[in-house]
Amino acid sequence: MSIIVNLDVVMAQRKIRSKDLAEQIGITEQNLSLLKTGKVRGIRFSTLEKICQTLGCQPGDILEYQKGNDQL
Amino acid sequence: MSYVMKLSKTMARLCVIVSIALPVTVIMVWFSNFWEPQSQIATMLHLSEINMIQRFLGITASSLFPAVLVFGLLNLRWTFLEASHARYFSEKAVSSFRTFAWSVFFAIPTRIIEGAMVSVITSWHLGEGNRQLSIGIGTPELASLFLAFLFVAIAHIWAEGQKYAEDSEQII
Repeated sequence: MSIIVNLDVVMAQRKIRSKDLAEQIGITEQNLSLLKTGKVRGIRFSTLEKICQTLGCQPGDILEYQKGNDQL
Repeated sequence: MSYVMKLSKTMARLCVIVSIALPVTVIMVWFSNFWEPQSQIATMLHLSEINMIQRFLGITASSLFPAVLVFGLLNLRWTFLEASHARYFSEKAVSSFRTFAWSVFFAIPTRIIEGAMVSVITSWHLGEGNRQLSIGIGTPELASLFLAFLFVAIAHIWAEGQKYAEDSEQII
């Protein structure tokens, strides 16, 4: 997919574990793992808002568009 | 546990109870003349005049409609069980409801055939000219058929909804 999820990079920069982030944004660790690997159809604004709030970042830090990477 | 989940759990149990009660009721009806000889059903089925073979054939014929209905109810039970675990749009819940709907739909012609078979069974000991084959299609049958058709339509709409629910589940 041409949208790349850089959540793991931001998490590593903030030194936050998946378990803690999942707990703080109110989703399961399994769903967070799917989100990190980009194996989801979409992300809700509410989830994105909570992630940005917790990690102190912008949506653009987490999501990135890469041209020419259209295949799943 | 939400009230819908509690209700679903109760409904699942009710489906099992009715599934057991239906065949028992059929057997009781065909032996009802032993404890209530003058009952309306005993008179209607000529229970005091028919022999044991007729009685057992009657039970078999009368079991057709309940058998289809029990099959449907046991499938509906799965829908309720899934709902009691908050899996309202699971594949099992949807496919079970669809099977229930089709069972109700096919139960209506089965009831008509059953009625015809019972009329033959309960009248074949009578003299020539008094034996009968009665096929009854009336407003109740048509109303039931319409209701069954509604169930089938709802089941298919629900199946479409399930696809969207699956899609929505993949949005975090």
